[in-house]
Formats: sequence, C-alpha cells, structure tokens
Amino acid sequence: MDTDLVRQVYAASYRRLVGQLYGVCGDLGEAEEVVQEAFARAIQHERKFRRADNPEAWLRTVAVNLSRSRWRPRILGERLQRKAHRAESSQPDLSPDHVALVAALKQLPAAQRQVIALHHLADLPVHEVAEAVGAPVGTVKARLSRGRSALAELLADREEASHA
Amino acid sequence: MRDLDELLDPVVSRRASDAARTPDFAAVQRWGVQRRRRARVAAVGAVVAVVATASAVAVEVPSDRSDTAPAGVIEYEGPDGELARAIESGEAKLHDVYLGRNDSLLTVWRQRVSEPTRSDPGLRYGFTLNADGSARWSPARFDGVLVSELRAGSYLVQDGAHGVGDVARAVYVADVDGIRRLDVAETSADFSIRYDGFAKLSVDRRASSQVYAVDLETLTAWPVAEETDGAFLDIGTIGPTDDGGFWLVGEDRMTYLDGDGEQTRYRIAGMRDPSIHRLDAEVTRDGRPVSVWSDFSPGGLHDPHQLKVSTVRDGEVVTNHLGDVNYSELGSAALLPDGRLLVYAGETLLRTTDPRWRSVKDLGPVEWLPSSFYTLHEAAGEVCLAPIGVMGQQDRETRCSTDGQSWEPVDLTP
Repeated sequence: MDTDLVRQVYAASYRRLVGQLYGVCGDLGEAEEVVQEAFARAIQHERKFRRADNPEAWLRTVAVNLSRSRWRPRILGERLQRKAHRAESSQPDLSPDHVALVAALKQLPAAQRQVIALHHLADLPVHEVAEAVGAPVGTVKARLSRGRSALAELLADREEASHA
Repeated sequence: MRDLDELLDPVVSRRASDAARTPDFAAVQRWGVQRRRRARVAAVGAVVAVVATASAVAVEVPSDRSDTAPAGVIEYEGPDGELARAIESGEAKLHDVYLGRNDSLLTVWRQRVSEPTRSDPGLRYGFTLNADGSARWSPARFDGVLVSELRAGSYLVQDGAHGVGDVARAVYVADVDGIRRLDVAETSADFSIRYDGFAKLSVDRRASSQVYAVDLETLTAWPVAEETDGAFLDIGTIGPTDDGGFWLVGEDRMTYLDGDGEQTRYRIAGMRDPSIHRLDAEVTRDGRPVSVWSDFSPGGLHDPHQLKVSTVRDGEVVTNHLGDVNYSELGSAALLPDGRLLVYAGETLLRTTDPRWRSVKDLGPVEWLPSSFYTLHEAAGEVCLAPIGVMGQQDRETRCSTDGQSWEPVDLTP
C-alpha cells in the first residue's frame, strides 16, 4: 500500500488543518484528534483519497464531520472520556479577548460555529466553507449572519458582566 | 473588548496551528492500516452472518442508502443473530439507553458496515429491547435511531434521525409484539377517538417537526400541531395525561392539548434564550410539565446562575428557584415515586422536599458518577441516572434509586 500521497499532504497540511478545526472544536486537543482521525481515514480509504480533486479539502470535510458529532448533547460523554485519558495539551497563545471569543463560539449552535470558525478564523472563502460543511453557499451566508449576531450578543453579555 | 469584526481574526487559527503537536506520521499510518483491516473483518463477518441467518429468520439484509424503506413488520433476531453477535464481539458499540416506565429497557447500538462518505458515515444502528424478562434484538439496519417512549413499554423508533433537523425515513413502533411500521397520515387528527399517545416526529422536510397522535390499533400517526417558533435545539418530551390530553414542553413554553384538540399555551417568563437557558423539558410520571432552566440574570455567561424549575399548577406557570449553580449545558429532572422532584444539573443533585416542589434540599455530589454527563430518567417505581451517549463506554454505569440517595446499578446487557 502506497501512502506517499497521504504522507506528503500530512507534512504540508496537518498544522493548517488543526488551526482551521480549532475554532470549530473550541479545543486544541480535540482539533488535533479529529484531524488525525481524518488522516487515518485517508489511509483507510487511500484510493478514494487519491481521486479527490483537493486532498486538503477532502480531509477538512471529514474532520468537520467528525467534529460535528461531538457537539450533540447525547454523546458528550465520549468527549469527556477522551479528555480524561488524554495528556494535557497546550492551548494556543491567544489574547484574553480571543479566549473569550473561542469560549463564546462554543455556545453557538454547531452549524453557526462551524461556518464562523472556518470563514472568519480560518480565512476560508465561502465556497470552500460550503464544501466543508456540506451546505449551499446561500445557507452558509445565512448561518454566518445569524452566527455573528448571536456571537455579538454573547460577547456583549460577557462584557456587561465583567463591568458589573 | 474590541469590536467583533476585529476579533474575528485569522490570527486565532494561525496561533492554533503554531501550537499544534504533530505526531509522527508512522503512528497515524498504523492507525489507518488497522482501520482498514478491521473494516475488512467486519465486512466478511457481516456477509457470513447474513448467510447464516437468512434461512433461520425473516431478516432483511441491510441495504445501502436506499430511500425505499421496508414495509410491514421487522422480525426481531435471536441471541444468534447478527446484532447479538456483533455486541458480543465488540463490533457493535453501545450508543444510547432508554429506560421505560414499565421497567423495560431499550438500548441502541451502532456498527460500522461500509466506507464512510461525506453524506454517509457508514454506520448502521440497531437496538435491543429488554422487557417481560426477555431480550429481543433488532437487525442493525437503521441509518439513525431516535427513540421516544409512546406509552409504558411501547417505543417509537425514527429510522434515519439522530436529532432535531433530521428527517426520518420511516417510523416504527417497537414493543414486545414486534417492530411494526407506522403509517404517517397527512390529514389532521380526529379528536373524537382516543389515542395511545403523542409523539414528536421528524417526518416532514417542510416543518422542523410536528406533533402526532398515534393509534396503535391501526398503526397510524396523525399530525396535531406544528412547531413554528424557531428551531428546537433539543426535543421536548411529550406525555399523555389521564384525561386524554397531553403536554408539549419545549423552548420557553408549555402547551396543553386537551382531548378535543384545543391548545392552551403557557409561557415561562424570564427565559431570554431557550437555546442556552433551557436544560430539560419533561412530563412527569403524574402528568405534570416540567422545564428546568438556568436564569442568567443578573450576571453573564460565566457567573453562577439561578437554577429554576417551572411547571403549570391551577392554570398558572409556577417557577421555583432551586439554587445557584455554575453554568452547565446539562440538566435533567425526574419525579420520584413519592412526588418529590429530583433535579440533576452538571454536578449538583437536588431534591424537592415536598410534592409541590416549594423548597429543595441539596443532596450533594453523586459519588459513584465518573463524570457529569449523565441524565435522569423516570423508570417503573424509581428514577435512574444514565450516561448521556455512552458511545461504547461499556463500563459507564446506569444506576437507579427510589429516593435519590441510594443508587443500585442496572445491568444493560441484552
């Protein structure tokens, strides 16, 4: 089995993908996990991966799909179990405002959080975000608009509370 | 704090990329190779199981993503069936647990059966039903399984649905008599007849979900009411009452639908954003609606919140303050057999001191819980704490209690 392509993409794209999934997951360790899982699946389905027009986009879509299930309330137990057994991972060096932003993102519905993280934090164009989340461009734009409004309200609440 | 436009900055992703640990590729390669080998073994095993059982029981072969749902009755498998053997071998993972009010237990299992694609994760689901002292296994043929208890011991299983927003391919009634397909009607429910129960079904793409009245004699569900006020992030529980009416509890309101189909709505004051504030919506064993929620005011997201429980009594919304808790996205309630309410919110277990829920006692942390991701269920003559989405964690206990203080483990094996 020839995994040279996967190895090359891993060297070129792994860190970037983790950065992109960080905003989606809200946790660096989880972002690392879903991206590693996506690469493992690329090896498992190596022929399909080779046929992908854009291997990095293929991996990103798989990773976003994997992260999606983590945020359904009924399976939070698995996430907690993994956290308990995983060695403490370092978190990015962010300003307090950005830490608050990531925390507020976690409060958004998954669909809004994904598009906000991928478009604004990962700097992906809307059509690539649409491909990653499997939704039409128009839907992504609507989620971006609603997500920004919800995010602004959450951050305003926090700001108000800190000055109280 | 800076303006939102300034905050939404790609520097967040760049910093995360810089901090990322990069495992050696060889480790990831080994992982992928192991997955490939396990998938081949599972595929061969599935073929062998199908050949072995085809002549024994009338079980349909799990199909690919076909929109043609099977009609009629699905036979339960026996202890030698595909799902039973997959559970025993570990190929099937524990996915979710539903405790019935008649001491029955429905357990959902998931199994990898094909290569994942963007639209299909390659998973199939089945369930086991423990009732009347016997175990029954469904085929592992469902694309997703969303379960609700229709009445004691009788469950509705939505095939293809994982949660709100999904549309089920088909709905089945599962009980000791079998797994029978439910016909979903388009005409409205006729309240001149009495129904076996009511359920929220996601079967219409045009609506986020609808409430249906279910008649088990004709295996038919009729639409009763449609949710139009925004999108539910969680499904509120619906329960029938003795007079034939039922409660619909969700978002920031509780709606009573009487035996003639007339609706009375009660809004819970103070719940600004139900998607964040509402922790649980239930109808208790004695027919009372309950909404457990966090009141964020005063203060913000990261300050201690007031944990509140709302119900309807004598035609009015009654809200009681149970105590101050740290923010948690989890919360559940269940009624003890003596009428006192048990509430679990993250790490805190509270029990009201009387059946009118006017005051509460903090029972303290539940010592046997390995994590806070547990939810309360009402079972026959007791309440149970079960893990939220066990996802293969076979060692995660479910325990039950009659008073909220002494907890006995439950055996979940089929």
